[in-house]
Amino acid sequence: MADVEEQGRKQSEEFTDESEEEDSEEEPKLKYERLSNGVTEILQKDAASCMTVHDKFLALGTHFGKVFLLDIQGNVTQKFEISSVKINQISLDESGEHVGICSEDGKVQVFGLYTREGFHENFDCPIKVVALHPQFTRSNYKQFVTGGNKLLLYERNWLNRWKTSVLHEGEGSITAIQWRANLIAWANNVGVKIYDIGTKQRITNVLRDNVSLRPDMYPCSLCWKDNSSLIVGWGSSIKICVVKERNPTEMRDLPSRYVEIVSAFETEFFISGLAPLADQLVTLYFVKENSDHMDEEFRARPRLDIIQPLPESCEEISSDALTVRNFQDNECRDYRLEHSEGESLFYIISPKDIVVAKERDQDDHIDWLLEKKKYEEALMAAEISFKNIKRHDVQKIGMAYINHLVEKEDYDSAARKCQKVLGKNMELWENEVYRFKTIGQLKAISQYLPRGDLRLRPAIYEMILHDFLKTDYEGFATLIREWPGELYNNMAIVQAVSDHLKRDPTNRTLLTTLAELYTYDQRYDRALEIYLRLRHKDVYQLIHKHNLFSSIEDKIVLLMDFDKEKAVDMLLDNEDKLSTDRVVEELTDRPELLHVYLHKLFKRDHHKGQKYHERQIGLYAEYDRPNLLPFLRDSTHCPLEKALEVCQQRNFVEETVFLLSRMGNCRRALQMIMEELEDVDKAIEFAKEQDDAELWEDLISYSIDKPPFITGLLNNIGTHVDPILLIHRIKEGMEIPNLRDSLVKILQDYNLQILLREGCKKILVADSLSLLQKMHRTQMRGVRVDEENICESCHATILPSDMAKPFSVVVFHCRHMFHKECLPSSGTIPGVQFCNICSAKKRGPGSGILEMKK
Amino acid sequence: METIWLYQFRLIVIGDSTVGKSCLIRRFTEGRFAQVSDPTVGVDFFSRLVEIEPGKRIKLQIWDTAGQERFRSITRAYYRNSVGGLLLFDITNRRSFQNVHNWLEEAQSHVQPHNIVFLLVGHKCDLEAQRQVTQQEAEKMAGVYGMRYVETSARESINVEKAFVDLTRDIFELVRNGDIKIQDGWEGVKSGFVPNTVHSSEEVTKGSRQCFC
Repeated sequence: MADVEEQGRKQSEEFTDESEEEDSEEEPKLKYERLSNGVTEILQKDAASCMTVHDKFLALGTHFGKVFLLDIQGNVTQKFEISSVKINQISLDESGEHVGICSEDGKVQVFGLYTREGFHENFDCPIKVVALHPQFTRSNYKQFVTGGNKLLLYERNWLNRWKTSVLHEGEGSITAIQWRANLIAWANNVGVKIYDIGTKQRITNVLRDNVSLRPDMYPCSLCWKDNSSLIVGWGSSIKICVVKERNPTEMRDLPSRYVEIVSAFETEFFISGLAPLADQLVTLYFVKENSDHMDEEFRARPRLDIIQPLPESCEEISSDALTVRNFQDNECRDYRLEHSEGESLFYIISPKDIVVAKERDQDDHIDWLLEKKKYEEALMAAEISFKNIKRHDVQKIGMAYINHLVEKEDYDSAARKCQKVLGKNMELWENEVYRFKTIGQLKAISQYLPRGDLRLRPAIYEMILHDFLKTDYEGFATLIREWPGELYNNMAIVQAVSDHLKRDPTNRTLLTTLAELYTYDQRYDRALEIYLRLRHKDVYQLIHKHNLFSSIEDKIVLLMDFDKEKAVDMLLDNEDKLSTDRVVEELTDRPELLHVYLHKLFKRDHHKGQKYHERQIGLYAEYDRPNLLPFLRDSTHCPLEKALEVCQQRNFVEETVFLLSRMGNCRRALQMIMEELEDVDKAIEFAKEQDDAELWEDLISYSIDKPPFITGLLNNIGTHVDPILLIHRIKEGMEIPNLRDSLVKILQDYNLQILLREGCKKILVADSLSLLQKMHRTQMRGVRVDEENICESCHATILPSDMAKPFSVVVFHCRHMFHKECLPSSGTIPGVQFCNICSAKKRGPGSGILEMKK
Repeated sequence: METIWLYQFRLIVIGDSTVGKSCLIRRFTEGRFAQVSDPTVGVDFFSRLVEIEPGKRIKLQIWDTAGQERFRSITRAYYRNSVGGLLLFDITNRRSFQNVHNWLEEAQSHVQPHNIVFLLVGHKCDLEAQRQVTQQEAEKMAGVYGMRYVETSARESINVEKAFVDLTRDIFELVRNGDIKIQDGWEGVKSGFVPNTVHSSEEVTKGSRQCFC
């Protein structure tokens, strides 16, 4: 027992453990704290018998008949010596100004805490309970009830005398009373009853379940959840009763309210106390356990559970076993559970110990997460509710997390967290960097270092760069590329790189990096030099970005040599800085490069390089024949004779054919196709392109003695030339391959033509008909004539102002209207007139008139 | 509402567990014998008026204490405010007789500076066949400690009245002679409402004056 107390003195949560060790992963719902200060002192000699909780203070009754008023830290603020024996109950009204006290020797005192005036009475039996009217302060509610062997209601009358009335008696001593609003609930040996003081009627009797338990040993626990819900705990059963208004139709002479039991269930242990917690219940259990070795039962630690009541059972939400001092000596009736309605505080009162259970707040949640090493979640929780947490600090949690990750050797995650946790705190950053340096993990943190608005001292960055330079050129290069140059002292780093290059003069990575450093330092010439030496792609970018064209004039060939495409692109993009003439001049000695350059130039603009087109003919012919023909076709500046000469020299038939046709010598071109290429399809194609009857004639004449040509012609000319022309000229007895197929094809083509025309005719007729019908319909339609219309001839309103008078109006289909008398006399053919306006404008006949007469 | 009485004496009934303390008190206060009863836990109390002389009524507040050892600590508080006590043993249980000495010692140690008048009661005297303690032995022990000795039976209602009345008379004598004084803050003896002033005690006059107000 001694060690239990010893353990208990440590002001920590050690005196509570989870009852089920295996799911310690689940977070407890409540936290516990021992009420100390004055209470510790009191309970060393005396023992707590009861306590009542008010929002602002606590009233503690003891076995030696004293009542202490305590602040919520347990400091004594007032002391009353009431009796020499046990205080059974203290009742406070809602204001906390009046107290009712009863003791084992039958004393009842009701007095004002500040006035000390009040009521004293001694009964001839122990008084277990007293309850003041919740509004006792108000003069018309000076009422209280006492429970000994009967339930007595005291009311102060107008003479300031106390009048008593017996509310109930005859069922053993009253062991519990709870007064809420107009309802007084009490328990005796038989059951729980509720009295409605408004109607002066008893409205229910909830019988006790387990009558084998001694009512003095296992007293009833009562508590109101709200003004109408009463929770009854007795032995190992809990009932939730709801007071309801009776439907007026069923009233008869029954009380106007009745009670419905909405939930009733058995609990695992004996109930020592109850308190509501939102929809759930907090229950204090007295636990007896059978030891394995002895038959005897022994008293185990009491348990505080949170349960969710269901209609016929309950669900355990949490369960904590409490190591209260001297728990082995306590009986079920020695424990009490009191709660503060405002703050969800639960007081567990046992003779030698008082423990406060609180709902865990965000700080506690974080505590728990940290304890379980769930740093990520703790950090998240802290960030989400950083306004509500008092004890914790997001940054500290973050630091703890980083430390934890470092310990786990998960350096990368640790470094990544630094970014989030350290934020803009320079000092922390520097400390962290030094730490990573000492554990040799600078690499991990390097990529997360601040490089934006917040900057550390250049020395820090340089330290890291030096570190990398020693071990990892690639990493060093990456950092140089990623970090803005102003983070560190460029000169120092250049110097360091140069030193390393002395040892390894051909290291590409280092050279590239050095070039980048030079670039940053605006020493482009040096950078360019290195890039060119390395034949590095970035050189073009460098040149472009920093406008280094003047310095590359003499290096064009070099640049072209290692990447023609890029070089040309660059040159062309910057024509204004490097003139074409200059480039051509540079490249004269390297015609293949010159070709590439000029070809690209031509592709971009057909006219820009016109003075070089002549030269290009040769270049194309030499290096790039496939592009020669497109060039010839697209260029308008190249001299055709010269081109023809080149092509004929080299015997480029296609190009020659093209040039000939371009120069108007179609017959010669056709001849070349047929004689040199012997390609009938191409010839036909050519004839089609030129669409010249003479050419066709030539083609036919040329083909007439060559059967394969005739086949080709028969197959193709159907739609261009009348095949009869050809067929007539075929010599008799000539054998033509695939003649039948060709003829069939011609006939089919012809047939198709006829079908097409017939189809067109049908469509035309149908269209005409529907249009005619439409016109007819339109002309049949009425035309609106109202006062806004005017006569097109006299420009007066078409309708007369006096509608009673007879009038006549002529309306044409063109919507022009006239007074009949304004029209010239009708034409030669009676009944047919034309709108003067439309016929004058030659809009066709506005024929078909509508005449209106009245 | 309250019956008029001269004094209120607070008496305590002690003795080993199961000697029949509660039964004896019940028989005296309620006039009935409870065949089966649960062991008393802690303390319970009852009261009854006793007329020791015609017109002189004394209110007895009788404290029934738990005999079990583990409740001793609780019952101690009750000794101090008692003026008299019945010390019970079971004549069929020798051990309970032997413990009388311990009970007495414990009581004396806790009532200081007040005194407590004890009466030794040999209970369950109807069970003559199972007797383990002779009347002589008991009387001898009572003599040693200066107590009266009575043998009672709650079941047969033998000497129950006598035991309480005898003790009350003895205490009344001591009070009348001034050997026991009424004191503030001590609840052993209280004076009550008296129809006519018999005593010169200040407390009494005060009480009567209040009554006439």
